[in-house]
Amino acid sequence: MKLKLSYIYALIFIIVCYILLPVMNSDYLFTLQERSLWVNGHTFMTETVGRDGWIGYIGCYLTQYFYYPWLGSTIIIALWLVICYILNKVMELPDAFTFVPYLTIWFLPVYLLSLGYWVYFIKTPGYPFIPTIYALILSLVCLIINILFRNIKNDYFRIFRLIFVVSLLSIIKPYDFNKYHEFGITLKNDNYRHELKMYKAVDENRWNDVLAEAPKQENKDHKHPTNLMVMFKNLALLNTDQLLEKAFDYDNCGTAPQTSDDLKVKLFVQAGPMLYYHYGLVNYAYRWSIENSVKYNFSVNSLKMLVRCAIYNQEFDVAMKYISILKSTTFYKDWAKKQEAMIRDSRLFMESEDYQRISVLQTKGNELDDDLSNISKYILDHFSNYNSSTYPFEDLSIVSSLLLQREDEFMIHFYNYIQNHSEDPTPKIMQEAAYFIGPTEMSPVDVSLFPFDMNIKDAFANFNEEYRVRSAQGEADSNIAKSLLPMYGNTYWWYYFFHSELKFY
Amino acid sequence: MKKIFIILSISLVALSQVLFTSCSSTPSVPSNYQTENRLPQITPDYTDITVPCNIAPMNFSVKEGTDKVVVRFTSPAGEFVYGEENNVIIDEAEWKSMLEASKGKDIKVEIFAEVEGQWKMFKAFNFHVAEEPIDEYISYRLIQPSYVAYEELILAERNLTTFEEKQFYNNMAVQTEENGQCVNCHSYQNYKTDRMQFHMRQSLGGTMIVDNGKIKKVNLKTDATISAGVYPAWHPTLNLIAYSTNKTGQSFHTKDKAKIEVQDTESDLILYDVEKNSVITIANDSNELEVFPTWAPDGKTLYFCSAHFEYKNDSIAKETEMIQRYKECKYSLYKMTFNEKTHEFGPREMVYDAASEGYSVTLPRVSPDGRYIYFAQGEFGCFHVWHPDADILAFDTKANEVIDLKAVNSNRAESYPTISSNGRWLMFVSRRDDGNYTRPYISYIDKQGKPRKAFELPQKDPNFYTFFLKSFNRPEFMVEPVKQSLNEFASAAKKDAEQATYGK
Repeated sequence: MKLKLSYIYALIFIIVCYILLPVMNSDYLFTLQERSLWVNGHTFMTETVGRDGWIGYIGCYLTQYFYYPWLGSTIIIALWLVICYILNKVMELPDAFTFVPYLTIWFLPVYLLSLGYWVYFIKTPGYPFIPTIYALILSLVCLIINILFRNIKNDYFRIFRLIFVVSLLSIIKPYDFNKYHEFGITLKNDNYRHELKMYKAVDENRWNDVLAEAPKQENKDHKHPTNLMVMFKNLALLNTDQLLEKAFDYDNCGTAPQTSDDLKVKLFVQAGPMLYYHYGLVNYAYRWSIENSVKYNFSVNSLKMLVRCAIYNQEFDVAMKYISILKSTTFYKDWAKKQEAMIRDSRLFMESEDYQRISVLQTKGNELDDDLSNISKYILDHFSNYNSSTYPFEDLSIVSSLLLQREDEFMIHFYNYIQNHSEDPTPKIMQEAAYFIGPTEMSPVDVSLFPFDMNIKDAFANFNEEYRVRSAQGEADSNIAKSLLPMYGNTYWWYYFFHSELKFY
Repeated sequence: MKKIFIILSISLVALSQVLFTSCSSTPSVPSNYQTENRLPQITPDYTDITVPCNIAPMNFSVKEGTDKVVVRFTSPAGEFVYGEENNVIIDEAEWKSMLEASKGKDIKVEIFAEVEGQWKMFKAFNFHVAEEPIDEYISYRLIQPSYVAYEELILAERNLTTFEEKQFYNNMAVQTEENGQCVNCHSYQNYKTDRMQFHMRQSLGGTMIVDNGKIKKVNLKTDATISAGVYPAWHPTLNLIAYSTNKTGQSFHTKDKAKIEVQDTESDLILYDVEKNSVITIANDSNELEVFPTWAPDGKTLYFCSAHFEYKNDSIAKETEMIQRYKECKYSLYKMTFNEKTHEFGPREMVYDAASEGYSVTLPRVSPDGRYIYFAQGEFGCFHVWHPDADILAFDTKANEVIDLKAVNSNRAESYPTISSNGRWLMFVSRRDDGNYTRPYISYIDKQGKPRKAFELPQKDPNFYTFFLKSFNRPEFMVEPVKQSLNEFASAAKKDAEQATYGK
């Protein structure tokens, strides 16, 4: 039996699509649905249809299936196959040429994967499915036209039909495509892909998985992480009780995300509420969840954060409002019911991991303040400025002041630390920083009598000498940084000398 | 072909059966039930309220943990039974007949619910139907309860006798991705829409004025004033609008449930002459923050709020000092006489010294008979919609005393009071549902000035407020609909604003 070529083409198309979608980009697809919303109810339907039309509403409905990336992918691939099948029917192509429809719709998978960092900023509800729905409608239009003119059977008409189909489909090609061309970011940008994984892990309190995504300082390629990755990494270290010991074993030189278009990524949209919530600034987490929802639509992601914040703040009525909405979704019912149970039984909430961790991060008293949309700087400032001898503030204050290179604040934290821990060994990173800053005029604390470890004194002398010599030879700082990385990458001096400015965005 | 015809016919018959069954069956009131000596849980809470004789159906949802619900309405027009699901959607024609027959009387509501196989009847409650109607229209701004960001802002009118809502302005019709437009402070002259106004800020900014049906866009910011017009008040008869001008800032609580403080660091009053397109200053004392003008119905008195606030520290910005001392900023109620011929104002006179009593009053509105001044009162500040302690109160100008309107208030923020053209219906917004989303509430005010329990603006879908993620802002009564369309306003918004002049 001879296998038809059309089946082989279809099989190749299916395999390529599955590799591109759930195999390579499951985190991306999951994020797409989490930044979208479909609610089973009259009010949501009326509002969405009124604002975005039925196609937007259907797009939202279908997007939710990316909750299971394989399921959502199967649905969208099936729709693409239907489109190709219709186009094949319309074009009446010979078996050998039945690959043409797959070429015709090449842009649909590209559209789906072209969001990159736009995934956080997209304002079109149901976007992942909208081009596909349009393509399906247009291919059905082609089919109807074909049926209406089925009696005309000459070669010119066939060619005309082919041109007509291709040009009709090309109508939807420009749809938002000029805006989103981050295909390369989605597929290849390591930081982007790490961020997606880290975000999901933070959301689920899987701290070791967060750390697994954070690049260690001695990484060979020496591609810096983004500022968000640094913040997530430090959060994971905090929640695994290793912040002070290991913060500088990882690369802290946070950069701004790389994009391939003019998109300026803002941390407050990307993960502001998540960072604020886990760093204990619950009001600000709530505020930014609302602000982001206003700009970029309410999503499962924002509603979940609003529920968490409202429960933590014991604002149960508004928590129940958001829970009611999430209970009317397809895939977040169970999550919502668990939160509802915590409202009904406060013991469950008090015993929850969220409460245990966040309640100890509460500073004393209320302040009237403004973060000026600069989330990571505000968090670091918040802890760097805070003097407390209790855990975890002590560790957070020290690491924040070191990251911000606030010499005076660090030395005060250092002084308080050695007063409170006179019996314990002083962590390496603190000794490195204090040995270096202490003798300078920036220090409000005299460290001349502090018994620094001999190996730290020697290491600093060597580092200093190497830097001095190379610098005197006219070597650029970036080259010196690379050369000294293997030996000194996890020292505070390396961070201080070669990363003079944190990138806030 | 024949086959298809048969299948279609069978499907149509089946469909009509389903439709007929669902539309025509009247649920029967259970004969065996236990009596529960408590009111049923329903949302919105419409138990024992006074409703206007022309209001849309008061649909509600029974929250007794079951879908099997039967509701019996008993009125002079007869008995009407609804149910078999927990959402009670009242037929509009039947509701109208009940209201018509029940003016000055009660509609009795009995609710039965089947819980764990046993029918229960809850304590009955009444809708008392007032003889006085409510103004047919209201308008409001729909806005997500954000703090700084905004996206879609809608000015909409709602017909209170039906569920019809119509947008008359939507910033999405004019704004672009890069250039957003904020819309606020819609206002009418004497409940009519021939003269109305609202503001647009940022992109295509200006004040939109409708004057006898003609739209014009003006820029009220002059070199001599702090800002363009902000809080407006149309003179009841003359073509004049009193405004506050404000410099406003926001800051955010790290822990407080209020989450945000909105403060004016500077605030004055101006008068805009619509015909001359000119503004004059009404009040601009540098140690006073004058705001929220509102006219007495006779047009001879202008009420307003003012806070005495002296900046003491020259070394820091006013905004910073205001943030540090925000709880000291307390507004009291004042008035000025107004000469309608010369357009001159008399000296300010204290009406209610709220600041001395440790309070701050905002957004005053005068009843049509001039006797009561309704306002929102909180502990401090001018933006009570974010203050959980804020309540609606009234000042009785005859008795010269403040009346605590306990029946209309909750333990969450109430703000933006406004009174209907017949003085019988007080409308305001409240965050009582959930603490975050403002919803319009209406309360009947009897002839002695006493309020009845407030009810939430009825919606066709009884669960509307749970799923609706926008706040209702600045509700205003109107006796007629807005006559201009969304497109007409959008076209006018795209034009350049006419610059107002300063001085007579």
